[in-house]
Amino acid sequence: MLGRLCDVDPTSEATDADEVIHLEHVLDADGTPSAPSPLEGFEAFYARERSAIGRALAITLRDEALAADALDEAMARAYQRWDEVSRYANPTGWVYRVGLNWARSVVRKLTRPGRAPRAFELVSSAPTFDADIDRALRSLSVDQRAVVVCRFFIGYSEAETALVLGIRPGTVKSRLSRALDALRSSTLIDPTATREVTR
Amino acid sequence: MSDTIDELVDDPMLRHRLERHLASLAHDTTLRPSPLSGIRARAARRRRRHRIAGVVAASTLSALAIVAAFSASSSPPAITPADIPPGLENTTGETSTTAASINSTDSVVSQVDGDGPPTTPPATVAGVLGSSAQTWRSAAPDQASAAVIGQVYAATGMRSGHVLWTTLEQSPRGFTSEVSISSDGERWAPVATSPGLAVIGGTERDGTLVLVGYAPEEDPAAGAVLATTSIDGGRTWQRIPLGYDLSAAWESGVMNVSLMASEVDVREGVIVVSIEPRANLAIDAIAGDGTMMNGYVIEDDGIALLAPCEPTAGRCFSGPAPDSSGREIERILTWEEAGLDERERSYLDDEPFLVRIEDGRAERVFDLPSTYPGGTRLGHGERGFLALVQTYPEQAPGTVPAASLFSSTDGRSWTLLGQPPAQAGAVGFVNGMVVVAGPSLDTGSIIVLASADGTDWQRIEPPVQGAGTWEPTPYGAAIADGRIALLLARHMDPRLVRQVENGVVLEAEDGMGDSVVYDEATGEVLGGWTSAGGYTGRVRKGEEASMVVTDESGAVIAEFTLDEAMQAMQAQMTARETEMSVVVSNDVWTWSWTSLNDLVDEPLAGAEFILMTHDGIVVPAQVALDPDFATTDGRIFVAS
Repeated sequence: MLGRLCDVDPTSEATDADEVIHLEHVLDADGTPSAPSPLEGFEAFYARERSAIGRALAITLRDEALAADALDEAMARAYQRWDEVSRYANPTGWVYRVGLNWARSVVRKLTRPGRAPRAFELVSSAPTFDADIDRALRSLSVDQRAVVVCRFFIGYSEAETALVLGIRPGTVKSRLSRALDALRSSTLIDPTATREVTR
Repeated sequence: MSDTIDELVDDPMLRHRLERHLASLAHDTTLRPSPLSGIRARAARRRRRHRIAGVVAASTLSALAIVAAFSASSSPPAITPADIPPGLENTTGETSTTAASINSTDSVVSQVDGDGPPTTPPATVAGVLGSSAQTWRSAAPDQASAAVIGQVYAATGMRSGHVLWTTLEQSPRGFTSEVSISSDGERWAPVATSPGLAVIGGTERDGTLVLVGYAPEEDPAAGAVLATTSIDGGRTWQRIPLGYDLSAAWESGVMNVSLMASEVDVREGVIVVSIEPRANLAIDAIAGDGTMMNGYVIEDDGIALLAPCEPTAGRCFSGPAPDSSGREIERILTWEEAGLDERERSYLDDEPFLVRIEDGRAERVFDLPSTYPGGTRLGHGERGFLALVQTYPEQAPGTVPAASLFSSTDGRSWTLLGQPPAQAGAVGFVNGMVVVAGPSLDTGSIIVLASADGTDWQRIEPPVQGAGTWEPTPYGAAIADGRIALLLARHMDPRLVRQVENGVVLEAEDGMGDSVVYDEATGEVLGGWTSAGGYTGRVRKGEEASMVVTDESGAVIAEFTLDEAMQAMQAQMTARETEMSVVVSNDVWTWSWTSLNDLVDEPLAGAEFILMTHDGIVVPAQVALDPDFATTDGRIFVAS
């Protein structure tokens, strides 16, 4: 399970909506966490969170190999500075964000015109697989998908998503709005339709 | 929380479908994280890079020194070709092998038992730079072939040519494949594969083209894993069932089985194929009560469902967990309660395995240790087949990183030969020795390991030229016909792009956005900026987003403008030429060096694959046609 962000003052968004909140800033001046969270060793953190973060990255990036590499890179960075990262409000969010940033920089360097992005290699028979939604998700940018993943997959609030992705809450809202517009139009969803999940 | 998802998603059906589908994607993700040792090794590699990066001004001198050191290092290797025993059998491996019918899909035909022979830490020998035995040239392929090159998904070298294929997802259940073949590396033509086959591996030896894949839904043999062979260049094909099929998983509704990359090798008419099936359960459907479970662990007596999470929390994962440690087990479902029949259960136990094909008949001959997706490599030489499997530490305790190397003289009986400390990249014979090559997990650089017996390994460092770090590309190692070729890309130190203000240096730490600020005279790190979004140490944000550096008393000692900071921090974030070279050796001790950049007038935009044939080496690549790398074109580098 992806870790919860520690308490983010819900009023901070209203009073300073355009300010990017940094993950470290929830530390008190003396460096102690602003919310009590038991410090744990990197080993335990890695064992508990690696699969969850990896899946979130894979869905965001639509590339399992890249996600695996991004996870490794972000975890290596977390391991290097665990004394510091472990005191962050949300080490899990930090790793997700670092992995995402790293992967984007890699994609930026590797992407070339005329070269199709590597497909998300699914051979799926899961009953919940939704081809329409999947097609729509594919049409989103990585930035938009990251917001969708944070909100709907991980379950972060708007403020938490802003914190994890290092963007303004207003940007979260606008990206999500555009993503949902794309999802609605691309899927041509009939609001009255239902899809039974059956075995 | 100032908003709710419902406020943003006024269509509950859209939200429902989106959440369910995201959970489905998580379920289908077969990503297997690296072992902790791999993370530690990667961290160590990063530290090493940063230490190297500190010596900026000396880069040119260092390069000269490196070349001089390699040139001076001409000590004879400790291993001689005569040391290798005939047949490669290593009797210390506790392995048994029994041939079995391909129809007995649930039988364990062979299993590695125990830790295998101990691995001795390899001594390191510096390779020597020699003259090139190849003549390299670049060629601009025709338009159709250039398109193929730009779409390379996987490639393999062949005795008389090369085959490349790309995958294009067509449906949620699979993909179709396009296969192209070339006899000269320049002109590529599509091959009509066995109808509709979703190709996951292939090769060609001695005029026999072999493709491995599975039949898609519309095929009468839907779900069957097949090898198809052609001896007339792809005009006609013979289909050979490999005794494994996905149809039961397709029909199950509660699980899926994906086939990861497959390796194929051919020697003296015997084809060896590695198959890597990977099964996942639709655990929410199995739980059956609408509860979203947070993953599962397969136990002996059933499926352990990990503690459920609230659907409204959203952060639920339905895939397999690596283990249950640190997780609360909600309940254990028996196989009957889970509704899994024998065939479905058997998928969960499947590990990678080898199939042997001769005279059109397939035989499942050997079960390999568990590995990460695509962690198997096959190779062969005059003395037999080799199979290299990247294993988790559980399979090879005490060796970090771990790999298991198996050998066989006939492709039927396999023996554990050793556990080279290497990541699977390529395996084969060079100079009579077993050679394993791939990116090293502990340094990130290319690793070449040679052994006479599979137990005692020597590490050879191929010579490199110029400053920076040379690392192999993802598919940049090939071993065939007694030669090894490596495709290396140079990663220039991002600290070569830096800003200096009043004796304070601002440099990109890793080219990914992180930066470090240090005292130029003493090297003392004063702080920096991390991609996680914060200033560290004595660095803080100034006016107009400048970067201010203070001394211990808080007085400003340097200030970098936003533009200066961005230029330094994004040192490698802008498109720029890729520097790539190929090193080749016939004995692992003496290497030739060829810069691909020197063979073209245009900037090299990138290359990933190196293919080796009986008498040539081919690198499909891309060059940039404009300074911004907005337009690229395919190029083929051919050595003969």
